[in-house]
Amino acid sequence: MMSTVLVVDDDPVFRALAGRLLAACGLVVVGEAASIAQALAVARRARPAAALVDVGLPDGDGFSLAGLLTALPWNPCVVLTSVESDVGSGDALRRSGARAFVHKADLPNAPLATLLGTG
Amino acid sequence: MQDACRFGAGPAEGPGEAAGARAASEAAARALDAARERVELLAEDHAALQRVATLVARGAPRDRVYAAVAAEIAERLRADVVALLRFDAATFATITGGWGAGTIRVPVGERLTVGGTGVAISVLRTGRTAFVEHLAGPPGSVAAWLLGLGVRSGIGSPVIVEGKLWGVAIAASTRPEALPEGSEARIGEFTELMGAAVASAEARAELRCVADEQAALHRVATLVAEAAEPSVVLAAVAEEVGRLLSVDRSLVLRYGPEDRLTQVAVWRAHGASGPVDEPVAILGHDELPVTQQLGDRDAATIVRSTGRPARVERVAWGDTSRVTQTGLGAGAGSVVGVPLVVGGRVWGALQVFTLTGQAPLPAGTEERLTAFAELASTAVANAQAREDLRRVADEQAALRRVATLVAHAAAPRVVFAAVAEEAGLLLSCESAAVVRYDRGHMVTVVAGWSASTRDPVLDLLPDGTVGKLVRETGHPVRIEAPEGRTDAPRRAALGVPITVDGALWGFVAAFSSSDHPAPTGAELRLAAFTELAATAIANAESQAEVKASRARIVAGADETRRRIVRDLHDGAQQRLVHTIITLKLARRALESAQPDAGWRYVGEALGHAEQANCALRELAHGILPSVLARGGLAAGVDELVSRMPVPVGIDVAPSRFPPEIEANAYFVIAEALTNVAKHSGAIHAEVAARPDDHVLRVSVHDDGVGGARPQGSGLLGLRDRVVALGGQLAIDSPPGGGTCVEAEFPLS
Repeated sequence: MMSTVLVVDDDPVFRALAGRLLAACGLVVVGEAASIAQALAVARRARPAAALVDVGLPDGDGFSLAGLLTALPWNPCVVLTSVESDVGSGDALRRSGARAFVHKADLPNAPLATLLGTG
Repeated sequence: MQDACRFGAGPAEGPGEAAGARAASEAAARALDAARERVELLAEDHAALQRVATLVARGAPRDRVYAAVAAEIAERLRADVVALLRFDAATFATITGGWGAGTIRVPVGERLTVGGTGVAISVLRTGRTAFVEHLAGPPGSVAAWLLGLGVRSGIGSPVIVEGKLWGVAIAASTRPEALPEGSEARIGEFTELMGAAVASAEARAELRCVADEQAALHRVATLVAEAAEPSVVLAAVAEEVGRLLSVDRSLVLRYGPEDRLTQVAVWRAHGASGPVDEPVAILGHDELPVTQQLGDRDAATIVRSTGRPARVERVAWGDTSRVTQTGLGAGAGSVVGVPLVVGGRVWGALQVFTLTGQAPLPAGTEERLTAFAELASTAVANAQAREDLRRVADEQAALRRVATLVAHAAAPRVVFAAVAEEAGLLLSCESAAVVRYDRGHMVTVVAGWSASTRDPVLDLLPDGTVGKLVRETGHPVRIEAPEGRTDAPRRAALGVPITVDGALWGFVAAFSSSDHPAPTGAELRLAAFTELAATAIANAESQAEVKASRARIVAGADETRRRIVRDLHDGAQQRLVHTIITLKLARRALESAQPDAGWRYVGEALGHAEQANCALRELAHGILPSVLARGGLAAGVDELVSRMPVPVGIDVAPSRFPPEIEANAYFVIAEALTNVAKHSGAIHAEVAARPDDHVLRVSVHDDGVGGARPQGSGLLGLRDRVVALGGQLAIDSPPGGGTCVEAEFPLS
């Protein structure tokens, strides 16, 4: 079964790029969102299996969105990303419920299918 | 009371008998007897004159000479009463010597008036010998005195001293028979001799008097030169003039406010005769033993109002003030007072008094007192000068203490406490306070000082009059103690405003329970302290302002960093990440032999890289335009103006300035131009930047709506920067009147 992914980033250029990357890895982008509020709404509607979430969002940070998304009934998995490399400790990442953090520049090399896939 | 005695002094009656031999012989014998008698008489007269002359030649005291003259005249003329009288000022005469037969007593030293009709007044008027004819006069007159003794006949002979009528010698009889024949000529011989005696005795007495006076003046002058306390000098003056002038009493008075006077020193002769002295009472100023109102007829009143010596004769003691009455009894006496002039003002008076029945104080008393008064005045003036000097020194020291606190930037409350204490001590008041005006009609006592344990705040409580008046007038106020109020303590107050940067901040108040709050000029003295307090307040305020400004600068710098980081992340870094991702996709495509997709990704990556470069350039420009560093302020302004939507006139010096000044002048112009473009609605603006006398003057004017808020964050931030560089920023933006932003940067 193909894994469905929600891309959350306030930069449309990045969302487009991410969509192409994810598709290349065999993942299906089922929704895009530019903010936490929008992400939650789209997630409830599209019920993605996973989400790629930017850390810096206009209405909060990606860590808190990760907590909210992973708490949804179908337990989507979350991968956080950012242009910054010093976004926080491993503890903060673990507490957020996110599966991993990948620097944006490293996304093309990352095992996205594994990280965001259900398998 | 009219009575007259006829005294036959003419030629003796002749016998008028028919001349016979016997008669002729008898007559011859009688004539011989008479001649012999006359020779004896003359010889005895001569002996009497010789005795007096010897006394005079030996320099016997005047009193003895007068007594001897009187006794000799009485004996030689067989008179019952002989009185030697000296004519005093006006129509007074003093009995200087006398002799009386039996119970008749001649009161030597007593002063009588020369009035009515009689022998004394005749001699006084004519300067020639006169006979007792019609004796009539008021009580206290020579005529009344002679009548009272029962005098029936007599003769008065003038005493001439150095060509001037000095007095009269009166020889009189209470018996019916007249004085002997030839008495007129014979008494003349005695009075002539007496004139010479008086002249020489007076010359000696005068010499002694001058010597005594010089010695007394010397003693006082020595005290003055030794800087003795005024109370000591004034007591010495009272004593010296008292002894020297043989008066009954002498006083030094000090004039106070409201017609009051204080007896500062007093000297009394013991009893009416000779000056057996008692210790001089030295009365401290604090004791104020006799302080009361002066009467109109008092010599002290006249001295004060005229500033000149004054003389009051026949003072009725009972009618005048207690000062002059004390110890002198009721009756008539004589007072002479001279002013003590200190610093051009009548400070007090030196007065001498005689008792009832004494001769009036002699002419020249005023001059002699004046010599002493001048020394006394000098002593007082010197003491005041010393006191002034000490006061100025104290005041300078107090000011220095407070100024040192201010200079060391002591906390305002410390400075206020020092101001209250120093002001209280300096003005010798009961309490002092520093008070701040708050909102509404509230005040806060920020510091208080009290001479006692009394809370100085209590002084402010009864009513806020001091604070109210200072607030209303903006000037120092002085409140006198309420007169005649028993419910409130007598309390006087002084308030001096504290003005900080032209605005009334508060006041310093001083309270006193005496009638007068503080000496004249206390306002000025207090003002020096309020200025220091104001400086301390202004310093503290500017310190607070500097702190706030620093905090804003730091906060502004932090905010700028955050903004730059955010801009970097959101802009250039984001684009660079996109470039990397896209290039990686390109590589993957090219590796997977998908050249079309690969080249498309390369093109996309190039676009991201160009955007990243663009974002970086804009960011750098926003931090500090490189055109400014390269071409200076003129180039920077040209670049700014080129982006303005309205025409802007430029007058900027092409010269270069220190980088921090160029940068901040640029920020001021950039912010001002941004406001012109965004808010002013102006259709024209002018930018100028010119060095002028070590200052770079920068200005931006527009013709827009005005009403810019100087406290807006943009302008406030600019002001902080300008002030941090030691400059100033002024914003003038009346509603509807355009806006003018002006900054000055010191070029040192």
